Amino acid sequence: MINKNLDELLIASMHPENSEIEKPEAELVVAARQMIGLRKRQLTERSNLLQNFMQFFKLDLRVYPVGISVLLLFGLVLFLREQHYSNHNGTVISQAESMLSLKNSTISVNSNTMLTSTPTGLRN
Amino acid sequence: MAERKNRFTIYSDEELMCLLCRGEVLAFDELYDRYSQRLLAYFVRMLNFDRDLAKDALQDLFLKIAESPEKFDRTRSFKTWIFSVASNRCKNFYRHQAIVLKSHNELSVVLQESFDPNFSAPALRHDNREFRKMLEETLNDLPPEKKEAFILKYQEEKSIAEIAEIQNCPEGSVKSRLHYTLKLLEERLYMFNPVNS
Repeated sequence: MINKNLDELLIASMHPENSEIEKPEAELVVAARQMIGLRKRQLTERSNLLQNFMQFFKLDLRVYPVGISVLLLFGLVLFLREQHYSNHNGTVISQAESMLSLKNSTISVNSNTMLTSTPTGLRN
Repeated sequence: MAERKNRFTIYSDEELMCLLCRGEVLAFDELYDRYSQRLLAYFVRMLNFDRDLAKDALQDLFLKIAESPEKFDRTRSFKTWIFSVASNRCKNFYRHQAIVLKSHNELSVVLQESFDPNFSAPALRHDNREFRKMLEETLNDLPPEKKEAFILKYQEEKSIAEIAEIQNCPEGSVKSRLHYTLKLLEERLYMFNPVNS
């Protein structure tokens, strides 16, 4: 009995339409449909937010202004570049270091001359 | 709406799942159209002809799909995947709920006179209605895994490999389950075999 004919018969007998199993109503999945609709709304909102955010950073660059700006910036950097010079000992120190007096022993707070000459206002 | 709906009939199941991830309700409708009846038949048979339970299971299944369509593994066939999910839902039902076995009398109400009367296999003489009734009764008596293998093979016409994937077992087990079921059917339905009549 287990042969092709039986297979065909079983397939035909098991077919949902032959077994009076009707198509289920669409109302069964109303909640599921709403959930998907909500998903789309959320995705759209997220996408809009992202687009707005990207719009903020969107640069409309043109070659000439950018090129000229780069050249100007380069020139400015060269002009303001820290200048080095030598002191009487021949030690190369930077202008900034000299201004901060970090390497200049003459005006250092450790100098005895400066400390003794500082008026204290205390007299007998 | 019908026109828009038709637009989705051209897509494969897997493509529809991608559209579903993007929130396309009509993609969901198309999948529901394609699978709801087959899945309901599967659940009805697996859950011992408790139609309400079967509808609940179907509703749950589609709700899960709507909740997290990303869970679908795109490397797999949708057909196999959805029946794997359905199979797991049945296992949960078996585990957590007492399945009320319907009596044979109730089963006979379910099986109406809808079978195509013109259909007849050349080597078999049978009364279609009686045959179907006996078949469903026999299925109802089977253990769930054997019943499921049989439903997937003969209702869904799935291959042994696909059934093994759905049932998460070796192909040998599927073959053995089907063999057992067919032998049982052979015994129970012997009167429909023209050789015996």
